[in-house]
Amino acid sequence: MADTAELKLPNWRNEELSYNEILEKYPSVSPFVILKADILRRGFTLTEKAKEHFDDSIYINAINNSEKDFGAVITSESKAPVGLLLRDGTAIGCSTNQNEGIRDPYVIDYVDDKFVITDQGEQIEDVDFWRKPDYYGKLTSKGNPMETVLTARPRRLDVFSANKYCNFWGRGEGCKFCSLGPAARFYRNNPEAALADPDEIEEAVVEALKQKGRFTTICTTAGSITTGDKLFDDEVKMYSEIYTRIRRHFKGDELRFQYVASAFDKEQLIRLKEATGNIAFTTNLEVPTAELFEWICPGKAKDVGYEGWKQRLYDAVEVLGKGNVNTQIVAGADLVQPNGFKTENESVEAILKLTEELAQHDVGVVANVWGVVSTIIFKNFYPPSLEYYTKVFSGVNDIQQKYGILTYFDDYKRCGTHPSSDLLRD
Amino acid sequence: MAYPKINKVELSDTVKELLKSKDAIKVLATTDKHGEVHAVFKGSISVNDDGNITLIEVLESSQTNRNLTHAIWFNRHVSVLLKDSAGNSYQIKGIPYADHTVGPEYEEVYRNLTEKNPDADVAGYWEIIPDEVRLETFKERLQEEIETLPILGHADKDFIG
Ligand code: SF4
Repeated sequence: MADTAELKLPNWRNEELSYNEILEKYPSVSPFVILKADILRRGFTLTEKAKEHFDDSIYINAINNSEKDFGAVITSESKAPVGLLLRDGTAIGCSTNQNEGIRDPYVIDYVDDKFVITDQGEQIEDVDFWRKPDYYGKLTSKGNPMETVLTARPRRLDVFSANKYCNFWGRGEGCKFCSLGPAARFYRNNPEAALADPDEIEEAVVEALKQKGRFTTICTTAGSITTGDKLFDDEVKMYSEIYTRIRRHFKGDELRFQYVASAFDKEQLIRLKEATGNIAFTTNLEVPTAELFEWICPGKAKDVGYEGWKQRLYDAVEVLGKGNVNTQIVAGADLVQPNGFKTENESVEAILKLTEELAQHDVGVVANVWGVVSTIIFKNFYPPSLEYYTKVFSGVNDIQQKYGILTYFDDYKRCGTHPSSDLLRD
Repeated sequence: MAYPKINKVELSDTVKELLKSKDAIKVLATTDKHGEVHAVFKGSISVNDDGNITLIEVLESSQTNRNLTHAIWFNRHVSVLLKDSAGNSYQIKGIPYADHTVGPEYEEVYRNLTEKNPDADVAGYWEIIPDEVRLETFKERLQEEIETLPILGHADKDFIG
């Protein structure tokens, strides 16, 4: 495969606590969410029998999903689920090549008429895959398959290819864990070509929502656009152009839309809210300290700065309200050397300290498992131990619950990317 | 392992009929992560072709939904109480097996509910594996206690003066 991680950890089983050992040590943390974190960390493969039974007329096949255009998921497998679904509804969005080969992947088998997750021959859990929605395979008026402009999670619609280019990458200042680099090189001389057609997105959303009971929210993310009358104005314009079209098909002023975007200022957020009615907003700090922000996210640090980014999150709460604004931390990327934390515990402490600080301003935090592929700058590193992730996810959730920051828009049902907010349900 | 450690019991036809009945009184009792009990009337309680109990939870943020989640995560029991118009009552204990939130079955439940009430939603279509059924009708329970634990109760009951 072209874009898998390069590093291997042959002795990891002797050096880290296993899934079962973590369950024993952390009995109050959901076994489903711990399993999810471990699958995101280790990846998974399918046995030949599982592949035989993986019916891509029922399930989404990764090779048909346009997420690959965003640079995150590319697989040469002819049959590969784009995500897994556990019994409790926990969604696991990862292709078979997430962190592939760094540690042994879980193995999905087909036993007694059902798919099961196994590890070293032990059956761990039943599993299902993300189902194909009715609109997949239908064409936009321009003749493109709708799934190339609008992808489906189990219960959310994603516009993830609104802009496949990021100006930070264009300046050579992209985030070092980000996989958008190759797309940036491709679109550098013609950034306009990286923008999706809002009309096609509108058509796809209208078609998708004919399937009653399938989708809860619509989420859009895109590469940063720093241009415009002021910083990020052209990005605000892009979201407005897409969502004023989509909004025509909804009633009311509070619409189940989420933007995972650059750190817009207060005036931009008010403008966007008035134009599009979005309930939720996410803008990512990515790492827990200003020093690491400067090293790992140089473009964002230069244009807005770490404290500036935080201030814009606080402003966003004033515009959208508590529970509707959050930020993501790429847990584990802050351990990369030479400048990262030297121990996992230091990273856990820093992430929880930041979470507490932001919670005091009613800003939510979500943390995810860092996925390493060969197209990122940090390709020669690896995501940390399962114990680290268990501490981060349960610690972040405890703080969210303590402060009553219930960011349901990023929970197990609507998003499913962040094990920390999957824990919000209990 | 998160697999429920559960010895499934087969429900009798009488209990299945009662689970499907629209007239029966149906209560769901759950506990939260601190062990606090929470009980609600739940008319949607029914049974599926696999002999598992099903129910619709309409509110994502409800205590019931949280408690059912806690039960599926940590293999905790929930309890279903049924009573028919003749006064016969049953208690069924079980452990949630699945929270269906997607798929054709879920969508059918969603369509049926929202056709009747467009404002309603379906947070989860839960499936519970039963592992204990008790006839809770007073007469039957009294007889059972007299037979199995004759020491209990008051001495004056058999006192003949
Ligand atoms: S802002 Fe950073 S993470 Fe986002 S697309 Fe640009 S380089 Fe990637």
